[in-house]
Formats: sequence, C-alpha cells, structure tokens
Amino acid sequence: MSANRYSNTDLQIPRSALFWLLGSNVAALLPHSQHLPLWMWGLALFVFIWRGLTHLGRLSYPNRWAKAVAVVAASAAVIVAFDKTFTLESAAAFLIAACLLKLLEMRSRRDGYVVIFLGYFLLGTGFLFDQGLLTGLYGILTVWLLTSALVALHQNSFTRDAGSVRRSRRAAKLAAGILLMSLPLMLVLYLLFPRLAPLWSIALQSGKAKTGLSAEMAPGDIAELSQSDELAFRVSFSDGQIPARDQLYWRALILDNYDGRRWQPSGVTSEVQWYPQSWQPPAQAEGLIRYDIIQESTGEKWLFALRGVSAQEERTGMTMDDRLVARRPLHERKRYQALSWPSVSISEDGLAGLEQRQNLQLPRERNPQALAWAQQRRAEAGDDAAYINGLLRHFREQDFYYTLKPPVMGSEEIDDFLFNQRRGFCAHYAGALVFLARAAGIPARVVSGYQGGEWNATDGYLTVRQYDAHAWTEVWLSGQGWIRVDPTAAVAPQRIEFGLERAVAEEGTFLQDNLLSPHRFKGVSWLNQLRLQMDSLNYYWQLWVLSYDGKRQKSFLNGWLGLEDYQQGLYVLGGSFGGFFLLASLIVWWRQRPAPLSPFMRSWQRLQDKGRKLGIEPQPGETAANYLQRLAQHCPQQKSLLLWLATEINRLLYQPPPDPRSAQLQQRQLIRSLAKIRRQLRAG
Amino acid sequence: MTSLTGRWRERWKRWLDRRIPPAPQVTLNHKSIFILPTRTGFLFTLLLIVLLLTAINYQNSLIYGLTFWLFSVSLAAMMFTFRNLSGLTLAAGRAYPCFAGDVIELPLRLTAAKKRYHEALLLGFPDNPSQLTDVDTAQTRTLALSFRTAKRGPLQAERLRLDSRFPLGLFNTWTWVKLDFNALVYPRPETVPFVFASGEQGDQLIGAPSTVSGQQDFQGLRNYQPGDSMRQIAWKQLARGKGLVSKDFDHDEGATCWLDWDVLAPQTTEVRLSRLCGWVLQAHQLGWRYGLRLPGKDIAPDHSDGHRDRCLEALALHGFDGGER
Repeated sequence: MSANRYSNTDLQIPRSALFWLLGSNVAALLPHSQHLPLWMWGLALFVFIWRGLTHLGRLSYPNRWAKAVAVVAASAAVIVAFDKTFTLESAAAFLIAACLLKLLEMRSRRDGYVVIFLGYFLLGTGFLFDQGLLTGLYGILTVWLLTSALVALHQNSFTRDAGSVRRSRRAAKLAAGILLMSLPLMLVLYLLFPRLAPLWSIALQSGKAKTGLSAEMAPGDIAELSQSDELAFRVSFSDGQIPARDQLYWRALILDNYDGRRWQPSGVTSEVQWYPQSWQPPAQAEGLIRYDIIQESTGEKWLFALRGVSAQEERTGMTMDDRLVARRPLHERKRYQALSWPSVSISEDGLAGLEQRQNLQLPRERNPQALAWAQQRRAEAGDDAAYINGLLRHFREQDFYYTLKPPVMGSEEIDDFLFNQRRGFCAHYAGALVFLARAAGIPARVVSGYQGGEWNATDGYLTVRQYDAHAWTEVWLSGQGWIRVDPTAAVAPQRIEFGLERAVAEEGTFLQDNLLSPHRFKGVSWLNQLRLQMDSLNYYWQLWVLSYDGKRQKSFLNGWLGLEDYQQGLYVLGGSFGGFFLLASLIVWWRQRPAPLSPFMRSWQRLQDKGRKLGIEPQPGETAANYLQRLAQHCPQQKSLLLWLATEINRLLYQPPPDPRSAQLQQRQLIRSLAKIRRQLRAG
Repeated sequence: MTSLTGRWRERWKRWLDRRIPPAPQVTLNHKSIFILPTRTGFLFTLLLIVLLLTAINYQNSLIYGLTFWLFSVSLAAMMFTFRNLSGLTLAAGRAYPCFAGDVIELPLRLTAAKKRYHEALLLGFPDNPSQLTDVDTAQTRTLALSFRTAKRGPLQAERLRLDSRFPLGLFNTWTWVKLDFNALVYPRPETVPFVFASGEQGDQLIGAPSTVSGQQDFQGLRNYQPGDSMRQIAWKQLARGKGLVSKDFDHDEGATCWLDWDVLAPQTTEVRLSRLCGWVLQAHQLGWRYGLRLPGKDIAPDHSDGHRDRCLEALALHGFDGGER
C-alpha cells in the first residue's frame, strides 16, 4: 500500500488555523507566567507580531541565519536569567522559548503538529507548579483550545469559506464533541490505571523557595512566616470531632542545637523506624486520635503530626523524637494517615547519654546574665517542675509582650530579650525557655511546627496555614518524660485559644504585608462565607482528585467495585475498553441500519423476490410498471391481474388521492393484490 | 522477487474486488473503509508516553488526568476519522470521450450522509493529481477527477483513492473505490498520409477538384443544419445577430473516400486503428465525405460531427464484445 504517496502532511497551514495555533499556545503559556522572566513576554510579543505580519504578507519567514541567532540568543537568555541553575523553572522556560520560536517558523502542517503537541506538554508542565481547582478548570479550557487548533489544522483550506468564523466555530464544536466523548473512558482510566510509585527519582525540581518552616530557626523567622496566608496542610479526623484547640500542636521539627543565635536540629534523635516495623500504640489505649492529612509540598521530608504519633502507612516512618517523616522529600502534595496517642509518656525512664548531652547543650560563654539568673531561680525553686512553672509565671506576670514586630535584639540575644526588651514572638519565648531550662540542668528542646488552624464545621476539616506556624518547647522531667511547655500560652493565651489574628488584634499586624488576603476580612461575614466555601471546594478537589494515589486506588477498587486485587482491576479495565468499542460499533451500526420499509415496499420487494426465482431479475432504474409488464410476459395466466396492478401502482405513485385516508385504503388494497399474485405465482 | 510482489498485488486486487466490488455507485461503510494510525499518531503516542512518565515520577494527578484524556481523545479520533468517510456516497457520472493517452475528466458525484459533514477529503487516481474537497450536510458535490487514459475502448479506470485525516490527523482513513465510469476512449490518432482504398468503391477521392485541401471556393450561405461542422458556421453573421448560418463551399465536400482497414494490412490492430483514427479526424477537418470500413462493419460515407463521432466510436470499440454502446 502506498499511503505515503498521498501523504498530506506537507500541506500548508490553513490560514484560519493560524489564529487557533497562536491563541491556544498563549493559553498553554499563561499558567507559567509566575515563574517566567519578563523578557519572555517580550519574545512572545515579538514572535506574534512577526508571525502576524508574515500572515498578512508584509514580512517573510525568518531565514536560516535569523533562526540560528534566535535559538542561540534565547538559550543564552534563559541560562542567564536562571543563573545557570537547572531547575523545573529553567527547564520550563527552555521549553517555552522553543515553543515560541517554533511558532515563528511554522509553515507546514507538520510544524503545526509540533506546536500543538508542545502546547499539550506545556500545559502538563504547568500542572507541576500548581494543581489548584482553578488551574484544573483552566486546563480543560486549554485542552479544548489546543484540540480545536488541531481540528482547524486539518480543515480544507481550498474552499470559499476557508477563513470564515463559521468554520472556526465548527472546529471548536467538533473539538468539544471529541473531548466530551472521551470523558467517560478518561474517568475509567483515571480510577483504574495502576498508580505506580515513581520509576526513578527526578533531579529536576522546582528551584523556587517554598513558603514554610525551615530546618533552622532564628527568632525572627516564624514571625516572617506569619505574614503568609498560604495553605500548609489540611486535616480531617476520623471520628469527625476536633480535639481541644490547646492539643493541636502539629510537630514538624525538633531544634535541639543552639549556637547562640540559631536553633537547629542536631540529628541525634532522628533515626527512623519505618512502617510497618514502627511502634504502634495498644489498640485499647484511651484517647487515640486517628487523622488524615493533605500536606502541601514542602520540598522536605518532614510530615506534621500530633504528640505520640505512630506511622500508619507505607513510606512513612517515625523518628526517635516522636516525629512523622516521609521517605522522599515532598515535591508534590501528599496525603497520609497518622495515629496519635497524645497522653503517652515518652522516655519517662531516662534519656540516652547522647540525647541527654544534646538536650543540655549550651554555648556557655553567651548570655551570662540569663545563665546566672536561671541557676539562681532553680536553686530557689526546689525541683524541676516548680522551676519551669515559675518561669511560666514569670512570663505571665511580668510585662512580657507577644508581638509580630519584635525589636532587634543585642548580641547577647537572650539576655537582651529577657531583661531589656521583653517583647517577642513565639520563637523568642521558646528559645528563652529552653535556654533557661538547660542552664538549670533540665533537658529541653525547641519544637517547631504549627498550632491550631481553622475548623470548617460544615465539612469537618481543619485548615492550617502558614500564619499558624509556631514554636514551643519540650522539657524532660524525670518520671514524666518529655512534656510540652508553651511559654506563648503564658504570655498570650489568645494565640492558643483563638489563633494569631486575635492575639495580635490590638497591634493590627495580622497579615499586614498581605493587604488583599481574604483572611484579613474575616469580619465581613459574606466575604468570609465565600472564602470558606472556596476553601472547602478546594479541599474536596484535593481529597477526591489530587490525592488519588495507589493506596486510595486500592481502597476504591475494594470498597466501591468490590475488587479483591489488581488482577480483577485489569479485567475491569479491559472490559471497559471492550465496552467502549462495542458501544462505538453499536452506534455505528445503528446509524447505518437501513431505514424500515413501508408495508407497501416490503410487499413489493417480496414480489420481486418471487420474480427473481422465476428468472425475472429487476433491472436498476426500472419502474414498477415496467417490471410488472415483463413479469406479465413471462406468466401469461396472471397477465390481466399484473397489468391491472401496473396501472394501479402508477396511479398511486403519480396521482395519489388528495386525502391521506383514501390513499391509505388504496395502498392496503394494493398490498392485498400483491399478496394474491404472489400466491398465484407460487401455485403456477 | 518481482513476480512474487506481482502475485501479491494480484491477490490484493482480487481481494479488493471481492470486498469493494465495482459499481456505478458506492456508499462507504465499515467494509470499504480502512484506517491506520499516521506518523503523527506515533508522535502523539510519544507525547502520551512522556506525559505518563512525568505523571508517574512527579505523582501528579492532573498530569495523569491530562494523559488519560488525551489517550481517550486519540481513540475517539479514530471513530471521528472513520465517520468522516462513512456514509459518503460516490457515484460515477458520464464523461466526454477522449483519445488514448490524454487526460480524461471524470465527473464524480459525492453525496453526504444524513446529518454528516464530510470535511477535507482527498480524492484522486493513483499517479494522477488529487483534489481536496468538503461535502456539506445533505449536499451533493460534483468533482472532475483527472485520469490519464492508457488504452482505447470503454474506459477502464483504476480504483480511485479517497483519503482523509480529518479531524485530528492521528489516523488516516482511506478507501479504494472502483466506479463504472461510462466513458469511451478513442484510439490515439496517428497522422500519416492518406492511403485510399483501391477498387470500385474506394478508389480515390471521387469528385474532388483537388487532392490538396484548402482551395475550395466559397459558394454562399445557407441555413445551419445540425451536423454542420464548426468550421462551416458563419461566425461573423452570428455576431451581427443574423442567426446561425453555415457557409457553403464548393470544396472537397463533394469528395468521397473510403477509409479502409485492409489497406493498412501488415500493421497490428492497434496501429491500424490509430491511423484510421488520424484519417477520420483529418478527413473530417478537410470536409470530405468519408466512409469507414472495418472488419464486420461498414459506415457509409457522410460528413457531420455525428458521423465523425460514430466512426471514432466504432474504432474505439473495435474488437470489444457488444459492439456499439
């Protein structure tokens, strides 16, 4: 077969398709606007103007030299703009530059294919940066535009109405039809196609700094983070009930190393037990909390969990210092389950030597005033617990202030904070408390994470945002083990009970750098209502669409379709493919079935069948009367009846009675006569 | 090797003849439509694989969704591409005769299926130029397809090929249709000097003032009679609005001759027919009355366009069963 002889891939791009190609590629490009350097828009504009002028015949296509220069210049510009780093952003910028230059030089239909397929891929890459509900909806629009462009590329460009709006509308309509028709199969595949673990780990990740906790903590860091209203994670509790607010301490990091300025994790206790080998609380334990978290990507391995956590699924584990971690850094949103037993006692029998030493570590030469003061207070207090309580009382009763605008501390930070400034954010209080505890010989550490969150009562989930970031402390008391102590609760109880907004209401600093944030307008009830509704839409989007992974798939197959294992799933997948094709062929067959004949025509055909048996083959284009006459010559006995029938049929066909009723009567009479003749012919 | 491919081609042709039998009119359905993915389709598959790998490695649900959607689109595209041909009716029209070796224009009527819009159809005979056309809902469109004829006789058109990649270009659907074009191909005219039949009836030019044509004397005008050649029409008179009149010459018209098969004795049939064809055309142009003598068929001398066509037809159909059509 010589299909290639007819190959029409070298045809020119139809003129109407050009607008589709340019438009759909802009649509695929737009979601990338956040991370593209500004000059890329200049390049886009340049390409569009040039291509537009070519379209109008004012400019020619770029020649080979111009193309070479453009490719080199664009690559160099990308490399410079991204500081020679190879990140997801720079890769996307390369792709976009390639796509734009291809738009400029495209001429034949094959170039059109390349541009459209690049557009699809560009859209896919856009999802690596954002997977929100609106992005998803926008993606549908873009797929539609790109598919329309593909249809327009194949429309006949040699007709009179080649460039008309009507044809473009037809392309859009057809594309929509194809897309809608593919939806059911897409859903089946989405639900049933095996969700594999990553085949290889990808070096190419986003280079954009993510908003969120960082592994180190200087006292001002969390205050800075509090200016962001970005989502950190969402939690739903399996019994639908939210634990008391002052229990919602979401632990992420243990900062047990202090260098006089910053708090860092020492790593002494970060050995991980992976599920399922990890510790599990006894099943009948009191006060177990089971919860489900959807965490935004952090680029880090840590997960968020309440005190007394136990890992509940594959590829998660727990550290010796009671934290939940993932095997791989979270470059994507992750959904996971965890189980906590907040009342469990931890290390109540004593600390290992290394851990003990780490949690008493202090730079001895710094903050002499605080050191001396701590040792004196410890001596006065009598025991460790009383000493810690005394410290909290001190914070509560003296004029300490909780503020998002802490003053700049002197070089002896903790001295300056405790004895001069007395104004600070949670990290200042936590750092100071750990310092004072360690100075008095009590093992202590800073814990950073999030506290509280916004409870959505209608849909039963908790939203934790960056401004809920918090730092607090844990001290080790003999016989009790590690216990949580939050100095912020002593200074600003509203922070724990109601959240940051209430705690800094007087100061007016809540999200003050973020003027347009909807979270600043919680007082306006309709706005707040709208915000909450959008939030729960996004929550369900994440819950049902984005977090659908291998585990969720298994439980879906099990729970909804009653499939035991994957093999059965494959059968269903194969079955639905078969079903798709069966349905399609049924539709095709149904569309092409012959129209049902009228009773008269059926009767007439039966007579012709009879005639065929007698050797009178109906000729194409022969009239009924003609055929009957030929038949009459062959069968002289029925001649009179046949000839009468011929005139009657002609009468019915060419001079039908005006009223339908008598026409019907006449037809019935003819059918009876036809049947009679058939009988006679059989007999004869 | 060639014989092997030749044999395969024969088998393929026989199979096609069984599957899509020659007919004056063909409505395309699943029996007569073939479909295969194109190179673009493979490029699209590559795109899907890359997207799927991205989705798996980044565990990205929306990219999974996009991949599956595009995959389903490619399957749906197969159906839509098929539908673009299915239901279309192709019917052969009646073509004007031509001489062997010339390009004949074959009228082809395309009728759309009910509620179907067939777009971007590429039609043509192999090794002949193709045409791109649309057929709108409930519309009939007539195309003139070019076909270079090879042999005289009733036209033996090859299977014509209809291709379409509409709407997405991922699949190519095509069909090979054999239509009975009711057309006649005259022998290829060969110009050689006249040799007139000798003997009683066809000795020489009878009654010709001169064997050299072009020296006739103008006699006057008379009313046009059907069958008068175009050369005879007095165009000036027509332009002046005096109606259709013919010029009457005292010319070779009186001359009568017989163009005889037998005088070309040693030549092969086709060469004889070619030469006779050339003579018929020349004699007609010279305005002679000429007769044609073929084995088993005599056409008495006459001169008119109709007479010429009858002679050419006789030459074209010489040796074919059924004789005159």
